[in-house]
Amino acid sequence: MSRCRWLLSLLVCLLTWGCAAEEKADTGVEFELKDYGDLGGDFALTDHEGRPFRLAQLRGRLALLSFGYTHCPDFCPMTLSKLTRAFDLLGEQREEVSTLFVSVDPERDGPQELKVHLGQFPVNGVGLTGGAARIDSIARRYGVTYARRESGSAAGYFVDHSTYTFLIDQQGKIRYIFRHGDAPELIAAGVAKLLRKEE
Amino acid sequence: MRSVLLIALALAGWGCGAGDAGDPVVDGAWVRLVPAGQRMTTAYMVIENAAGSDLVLRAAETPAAGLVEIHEMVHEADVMKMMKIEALKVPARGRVELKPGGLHLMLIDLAEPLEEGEELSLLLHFEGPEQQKIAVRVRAVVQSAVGQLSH
Repeated sequence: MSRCRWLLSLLVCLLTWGCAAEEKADTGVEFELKDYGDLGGDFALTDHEGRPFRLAQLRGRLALLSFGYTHCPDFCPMTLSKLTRAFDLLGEQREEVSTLFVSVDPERDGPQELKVHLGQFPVNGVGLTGGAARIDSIARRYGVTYARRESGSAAGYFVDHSTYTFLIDQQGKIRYIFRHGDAPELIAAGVAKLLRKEE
Repeated sequence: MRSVLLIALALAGWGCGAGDAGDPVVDGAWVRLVPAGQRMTTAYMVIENAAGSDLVLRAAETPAAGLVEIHEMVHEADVMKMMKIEALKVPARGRVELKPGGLHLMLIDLAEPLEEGEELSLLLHFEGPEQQKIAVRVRAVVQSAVGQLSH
């Protein structure tokens, strides 16, 4: 046997081993869950129906958590549109996931504003708002920054904010942080992977 | 005879070049559908400038909203910032794309609730070389954002 063939066989073996080490989600995208230590954690806010909400009440379910505001007319709807596409990819599994949207603009975003905004997107959405100090504390625990900025716009002030979407598992821990630019297929793959782990 | 023809052609060429080629062309304009009661929304489109000089979009207006602003989004260190800008340059022989996550027109104080499929009329005000004013009328279709993901 020539050396060339031996090298080729070795290469095939390595590739096969490499592929087997990663689980492939149904969407064909490979996904690796992570551990972020103490990042995140339980919190209490008010939901879009005016009811008290605790993250812990989602134990046993998955959550996709983002921070944004309803006067954000471009980026936040874009994120929610992307999540809508991810939910479509999940099919029946979509019922295992809630989308949490924490407002970084509690002054303008009450429950009613969040309800109307999230109502456009079929993502099992939960709008969350509360006192400014509490939202501040939650954002900090999640490594999220936001800042109100006067803009000279008739639309009012803008709120610059982090663009992360957190994938939270059935125990309330963050297992992946999606970034702006991550595709809906990747989000669906992450959710699918967590659902398989519990089977 | 031939020289007359050549002069005529040259004049015709110059005539065409000085007029219509100065006007930008706007394609694929759409407006994001928002629920009744929301005060503002965004419009997106591609603006092409076939002329030999830069054009600047300075303002826009529509009967569908109280006012229109030009905005851009800047994403830096995982933070998204939105900014109102006063002018948007469309380079000579170039194009500018307004799309979700980037440049957009903000329609503020919507006059009436939007309906999917409805066409809104926008008037874009450009400035050409030597402060030449060019107004371009655009029809933008109201669409749900979910079908318009762009990466």
